[in-house]
Amino acid sequence: MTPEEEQAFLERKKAKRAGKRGFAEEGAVLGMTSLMDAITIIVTYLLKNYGSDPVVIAPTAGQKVPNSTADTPIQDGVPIYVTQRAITFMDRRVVQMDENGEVDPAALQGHLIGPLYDLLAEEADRAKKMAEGKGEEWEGRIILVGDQNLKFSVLVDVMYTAGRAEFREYAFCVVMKNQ
Amino acid sequence: MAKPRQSAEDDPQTQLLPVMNIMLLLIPALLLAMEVARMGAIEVRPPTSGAQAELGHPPKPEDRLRVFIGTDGFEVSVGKREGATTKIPVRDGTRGPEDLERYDFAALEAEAAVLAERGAVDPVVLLDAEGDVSMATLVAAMDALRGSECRLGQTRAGENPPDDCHFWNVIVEPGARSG
Repeated sequence: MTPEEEQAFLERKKAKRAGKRGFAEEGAVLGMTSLMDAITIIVTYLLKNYGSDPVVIAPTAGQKVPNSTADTPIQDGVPIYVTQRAITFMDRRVVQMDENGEVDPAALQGHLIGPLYDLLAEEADRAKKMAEGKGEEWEGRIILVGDQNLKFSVLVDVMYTAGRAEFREYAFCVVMKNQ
Repeated sequence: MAKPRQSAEDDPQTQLLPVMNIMLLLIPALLLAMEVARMGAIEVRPPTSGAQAELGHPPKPEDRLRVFIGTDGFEVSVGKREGATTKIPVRDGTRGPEDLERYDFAALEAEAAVLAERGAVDPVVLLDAEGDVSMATLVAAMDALRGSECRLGQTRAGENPPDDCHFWNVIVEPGARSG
């Protein structure tokens, strides 16, 4: 049987089957309108969620941010991600931690974390110039996104370093408990 | 009579497929950017930030509440460093220092409530800890000192915090205990 004959055979078979059921075979049409409605609702919901916070905090892999009953929203600031493996700033892994979760001694001068200080000072200069250009006062806020098992000694080192880079305000990022 | 010519314009149809394509690309992009957990912030201050002056009533140094978090529990004192100290021992000493069940946060909150009730001290707390104390413990202690029913989220526009809030202004001061 040639392909044309096979096609004609299938058409006849379809028509015969439709005749038996008492109505003509309908062509399948993809209903796009209802699908569009659903997708529009999903996109609107996601866009609303996306635009609600001034800073998007994306904890690094394996990082667990501590839970808190605090209900204060995050204000605009520069996030520093501190885990037991590394300190990450501006998507750059700045300092490695040792096996005890302490800052690598080679990067530490007293409480000052050298490589982090360099980047923070650079960021502070840039942010100050931007604020000056806008005619606003520079807030100098750091958002510390720390791991829940992060040691207090490391936290103090990071805060000290940020303070030396002229950042004046600090906020600990937490996951709000269900209230 | 000649039959009117039927052009493509007579049967307008919205081209939904390109719109659908864009929408389906937007959904995964927005899902990736969406916050899975709601993030909040706890504002903390370094010792030299002049947090007290911002409150409008510079406190006497002896009015300050000092809390030290050690691996053996909390030490709460009001006033000078050598002043009387209330010790709140750990609840379950068999648990590790990173385990929140180790500490008696309820007792700390009760102590904070008593001190706040007396009204003799400022809502400022000087917080210090041993180097090994975890960030989760620090945050939980801040929650307890602030009060579990305290909701500062609605009172940021220059209003006074609610009466449920005890010690909500945290100054992280390493070495506050040892002096």
